[in-house]
Amino acid sequence: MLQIKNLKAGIEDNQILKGINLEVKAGEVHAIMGPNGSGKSTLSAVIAGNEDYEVEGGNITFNGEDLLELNPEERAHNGVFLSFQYPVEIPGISVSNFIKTSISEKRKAQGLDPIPTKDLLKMMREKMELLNIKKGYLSRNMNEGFSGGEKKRNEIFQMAMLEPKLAILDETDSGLDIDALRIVANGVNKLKSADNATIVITHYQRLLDYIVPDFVHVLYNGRIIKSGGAELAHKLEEKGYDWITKEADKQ
Amino acid sequence: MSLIENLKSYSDKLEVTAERKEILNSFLTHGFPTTKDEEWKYTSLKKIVSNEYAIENTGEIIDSSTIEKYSLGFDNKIIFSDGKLINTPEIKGVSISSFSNFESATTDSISQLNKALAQNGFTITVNKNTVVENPIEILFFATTKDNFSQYRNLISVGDNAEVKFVERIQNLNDSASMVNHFTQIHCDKNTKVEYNKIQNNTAESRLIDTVNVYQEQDSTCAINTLIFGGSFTRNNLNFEQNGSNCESNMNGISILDDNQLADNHTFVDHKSAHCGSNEMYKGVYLGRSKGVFNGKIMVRPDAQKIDAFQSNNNLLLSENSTIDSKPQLEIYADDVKCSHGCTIGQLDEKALFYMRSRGIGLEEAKAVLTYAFASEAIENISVEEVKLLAQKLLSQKLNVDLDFSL
Amino acid sequence: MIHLGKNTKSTIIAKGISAGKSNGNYRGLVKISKRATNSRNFSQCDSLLMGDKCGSHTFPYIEVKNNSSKVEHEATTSKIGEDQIFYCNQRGIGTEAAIALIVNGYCKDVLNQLPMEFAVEAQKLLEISLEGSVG
Repeated sequence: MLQIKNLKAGIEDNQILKGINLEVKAGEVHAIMGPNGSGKSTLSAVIAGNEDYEVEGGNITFNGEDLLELNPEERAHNGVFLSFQYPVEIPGISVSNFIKTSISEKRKAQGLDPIPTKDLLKMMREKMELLNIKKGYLSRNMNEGFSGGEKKRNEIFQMAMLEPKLAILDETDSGLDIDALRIVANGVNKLKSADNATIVITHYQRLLDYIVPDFVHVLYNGRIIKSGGAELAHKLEEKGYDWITKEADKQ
Repeated sequence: MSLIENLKSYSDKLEVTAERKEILNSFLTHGFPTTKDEEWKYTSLKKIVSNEYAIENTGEIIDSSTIEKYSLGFDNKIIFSDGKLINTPEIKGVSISSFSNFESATTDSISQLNKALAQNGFTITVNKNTVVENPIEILFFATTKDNFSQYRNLISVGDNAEVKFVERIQNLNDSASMVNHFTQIHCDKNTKVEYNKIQNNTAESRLIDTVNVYQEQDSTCAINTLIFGGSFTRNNLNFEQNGSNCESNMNGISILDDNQLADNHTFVDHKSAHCGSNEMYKGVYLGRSKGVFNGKIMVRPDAQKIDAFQSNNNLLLSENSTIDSKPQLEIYADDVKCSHGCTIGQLDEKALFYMRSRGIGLEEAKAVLTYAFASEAIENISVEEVKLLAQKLLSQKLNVDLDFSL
Repeated sequence: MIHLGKNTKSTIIAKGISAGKSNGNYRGLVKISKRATNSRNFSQCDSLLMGDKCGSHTFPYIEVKNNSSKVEHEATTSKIGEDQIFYCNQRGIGTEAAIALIVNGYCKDVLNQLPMEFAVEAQKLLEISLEGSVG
């Protein structure tokens, strides 16, 4: 589904990604771990199309199409979803209104008629039940006054409503307590299918006990220096990153 | 003799390390802060430090009925009696021991005095990934009369761990005892810590309580203080955020009467981006009581996307009570959301009359409005027993028989 | 807003949006006269800046000659951040549509008070005047 070949990208004069190679197939869960500053958030920003970052080399193919040619909303229409590490506040816009607009724009782009309000509300109620979200939530303004955990749940709610092909979860678990973590992980697991794929970017192995990855990659200094299965994450939890990064530094 | 002379002669008889001796000398040179020091501008220590205190703990045995009287009923209790650790609970993933001489910031004389001479306190380590289900109760009892004691405590919370504490310092007689309390809390990555302080000591008690919190990325720490008792209470809460996505929360409720004084000094140092802080301090002042609030928020140049909220609301219920409030914002970053608000007022006459017209007596009506005033801060406390205690103490202080719990 | 009579109340909500190189100013007077016992005023003036070449200035004049009155004034300044636009983009909402959405949210308080036909017109006008104002 997603093929990243030798991706080089940076911001201002700094090259952060120095040649990333990654392949994600439908039905797979890939975890990306790495110390702070390794380029994890940059990778997700570049896949989503954040224009603050300049792509200096390499390419990204998504379902056969050149992703780098598309602007952020086109990538979204094609099924790319990013759960932001720091979701923004949009005062004055309710959650329901925002999601309605998002879905409408996608359908417009695909030449479809707008979704009937009745069907939309029904879908929202189903997904709210899935994520244990209470009634008043839909009329609250986007992330305004939301706690950290509520903001992350809002991201997963949007993911549930938009049904993306590729979901990138950028540090969705940072700052969540164990109860909130379980709810979010449960939601993500219920949305997984053989037709979609998930990239989980995390700092803490704990999340991967709940969202079990098929592949774990370690990102260090803008490169993926080691890949393995779920056990790699456990090893990192016990030993830290030094044993891998020391080797990478030598090269 | 004055406290400082007393401390000098006490320390002469003591064997302290060279390092501690140096800090002690620094303290003895500068002495206790006076109102000429900016941080003590509105609060004078003069009378308090001129008293004669007993520095050696004599100590009597404490029986279980005393413990039951002051405890909120939690299973896990850490109990001190005149400085001696007499009970340590067994909690999986948590190690608890007594005093350890740890490194700490000693920029002010109060902290210096504590670092130089404190010999009692607790050391708690919560292991990585440990979620402690029930709050840990910490009780400090004192039986010695006119006692000056110091406690020095260290809490280290490992990555991903969650823990709550409820602490109470209790004098078991009516004497004018004083405590210089110091607690240092290290919140590692992705931790969740809540520390509740019940400051409801006897009428003559004095307390200077300092808490320094050091937070790593993704951590949340809340410190809640309930000030109902004691004649002199000074809280110094300092938070240092050393990683992104941290949250520092403080809730304070002071209900004072007679000649009580409560001084809450808070400081949040936002050093990293994407962090937040929330402070809500509510004060109700009856009689000739006095309140002081000083909330400083610093946002460093690289700390962008900070969301800092501070509010100090005060209700002056008598003609002779006073409040001095100084909110301070020092902001060096340009993409932040910081706000502070301070209000000082009285109860709404119209609302009082409305309630009386519905058969609610004047004192009860005042109590209801006062509870409504303080409730926002009480609601932010997550430990149910502490919330209920706050409601109970509030109705006691206001002399009414009302049950505010719903 | 001039209060002359007893027990009078007023509310002022002013929302300004500046884009391009424009400058928006709010100049308002709230006057409570000596005999306007027990009167109340609440004023809120907000400015939304789009881009960094525009400006907004607020000049509130508050003259109160009666001590039983209650006057409140609030002012906020905010801007449409690039990160808000990117967030909307990632959810499939194009930049122009995103700005329209955000501006609508910002003006909701005012638009909600207008009679429906007027509100619809006002919304359409907003869209037209903000077309191409992407900074």
